Amino acid sequence: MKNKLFRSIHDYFHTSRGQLVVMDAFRTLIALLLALVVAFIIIAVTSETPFETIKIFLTAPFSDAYTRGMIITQAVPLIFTGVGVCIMVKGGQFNMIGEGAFFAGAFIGAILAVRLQVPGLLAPLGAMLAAGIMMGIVGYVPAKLKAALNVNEFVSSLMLNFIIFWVCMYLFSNVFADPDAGSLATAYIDDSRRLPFLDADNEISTSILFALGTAVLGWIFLYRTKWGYAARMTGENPVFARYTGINTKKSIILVQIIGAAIAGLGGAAFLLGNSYRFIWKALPGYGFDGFIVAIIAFNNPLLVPIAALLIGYLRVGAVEMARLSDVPNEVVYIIQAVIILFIGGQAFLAGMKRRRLQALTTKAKEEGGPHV
Amino acid sequence: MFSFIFSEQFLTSMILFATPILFASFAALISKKAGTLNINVEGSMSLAALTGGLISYATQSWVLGLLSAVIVGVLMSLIFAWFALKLKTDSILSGIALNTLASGLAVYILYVVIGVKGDSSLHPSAMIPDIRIPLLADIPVIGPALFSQNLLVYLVFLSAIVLTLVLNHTRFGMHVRSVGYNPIAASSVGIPVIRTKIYALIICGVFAGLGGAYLSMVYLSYFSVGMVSGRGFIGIAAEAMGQGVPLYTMLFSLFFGAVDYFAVGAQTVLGFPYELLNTLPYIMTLIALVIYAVYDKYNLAAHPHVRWWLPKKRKASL
Repeated sequence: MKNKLFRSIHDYFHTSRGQLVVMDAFRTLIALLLALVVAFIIIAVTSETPFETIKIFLTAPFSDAYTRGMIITQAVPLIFTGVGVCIMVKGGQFNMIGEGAFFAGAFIGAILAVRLQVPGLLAPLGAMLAAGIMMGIVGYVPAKLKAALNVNEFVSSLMLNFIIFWVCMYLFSNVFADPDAGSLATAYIDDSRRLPFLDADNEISTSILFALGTAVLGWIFLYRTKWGYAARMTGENPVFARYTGINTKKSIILVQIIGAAIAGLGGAAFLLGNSYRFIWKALPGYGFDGFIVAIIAFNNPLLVPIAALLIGYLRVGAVEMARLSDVPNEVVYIIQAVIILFIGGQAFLAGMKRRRLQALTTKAKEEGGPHV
Repeated sequence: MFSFIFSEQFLTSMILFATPILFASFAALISKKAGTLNINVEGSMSLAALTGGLISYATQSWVLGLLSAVIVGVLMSLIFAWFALKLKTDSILSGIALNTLASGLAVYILYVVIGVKGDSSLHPSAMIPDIRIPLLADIPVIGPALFSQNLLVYLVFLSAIVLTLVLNHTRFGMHVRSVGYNPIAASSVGIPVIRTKIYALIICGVFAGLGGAYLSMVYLSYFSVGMVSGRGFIGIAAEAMGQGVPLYTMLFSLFFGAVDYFAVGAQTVLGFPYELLNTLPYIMTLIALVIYAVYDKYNLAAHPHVRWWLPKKRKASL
């Protein structure tokens, strides 16, 4: 039995598909290592005690229960925006709306959780739902423009982000600011109107459950529904998809609405899980981070939580490093950038990938077996 | 309000606010023309501003500060080029990543060099001088606004002219346009595609560097984190509205500069919330994108009465 399982795994890795998976994983690993090397060089140049600093950076996130909880908390927003990006990218849409939608979702969530006249837990749930729906409606704008007029969704969503941001800031400082708060903030959200903590000691909130649920639902949508199939076909080859009778315009609109809605929902869930007020005065960048997470996860929603935990781990490490040593935590942005640049590089290690696939094909030919 | 708009102070301030946007939009324009839109203008400007500020403080020479800012801008562009053209990372993805890198690196360098995370106001930059052109500067209203300006302001308007001439009337400009329009066709007639793109990106880096230097050595006398505050993206918006024509791009940049001035410096005049005013460039760009798209979709270019105000050869998408 064990032998049989081993054989099937062995066989899988000798198909071209298995080889692709192996190579992608290998490329990701190399990109991660390169990023860490760059970070270590920077740390070595600037730190008085480089080895100590690097050790803190790598080990501190696991040092106690609180920092381990922080990894999970850091991962929550990344999972939401990452899943949103996966769905949009799989549908062939390069849409940045996640950035603005996450920000606005958090803002809407913070306001509605206080103002909704419903008992207990229904308040945060209702607020999250409303944030998701509202951002889905906003997401319709670049989606429709792309589908109907072929307006580049990247530029239009980038513009829309800033519009969303400034409109929220206007409402924030002129309508929904709490005069009792010391600085600009929305009204205090009562404990009973927030998402409860799973573990109050290390502040892991139930928002992680929603995040994981979103990842699973996102995967089911993409790989187990006809709409997801249509979306993936549209993403891979829109002309071919249209010839086979797929309504590509509908797919283009659908994935962008879903992407924006997930980001909006995520914003609300993150805020209601871990904050008592909305206090952001700048775009938090989680939308852009979604692209990093999605690319590490090969645009597969099920892998997004792992990628998000990885980024969360690096961030917590950087924060701890800034606290305990003389190196600022911004080094983590450099790591992220290098990861994205190398994994995204089509030509990065492409020669090796091609050679491995070629070797496989020639071997199969020599053996006279079927094409793999 | 009209007397305000036609006042000398308004004109001067508008140019003051528009200059960094102009640099950013030219950077976006040349990279877009060559077919590889560099959205890392924002990040390049930030790092260039930092370098310009710190170097000019350290050497007390604005020339060295300006030079180092330009070098950093070019360097960022070359890194972008290496990833986007050599490793074939999606150019937008590369831009996002390098923006992330720049925002982190700026804070990091600032902290390592002067031990502060916010700004370098304790270490003021050597300022790039204003130059007053005699006689012309004495013309009322437009004289002080146009002929008693900063060196970089003259440079940016000069760049607009040079850019127009280079793009439309030189061999290199023709190469850039054809590489952006159809790289395969361009390479089939022997135009070195990658090399042309790299040259265009170097020019893009020079503009981004100048824009950054302007921010920390003219606009303010120090570098502060987040001082670019979306100007790189507004530059991209201005380029999108101008549809790759330097003159139109310049006019939209000037307009966005005026909006910026209203939003930051002249709230009291309008009595309008600055947050909503800030959305104006983005809303206008969105509307312009829609107009251009309709124009493309219904092929209005073929219509003689519509044609005159738009450039003749436009790429179908965006």
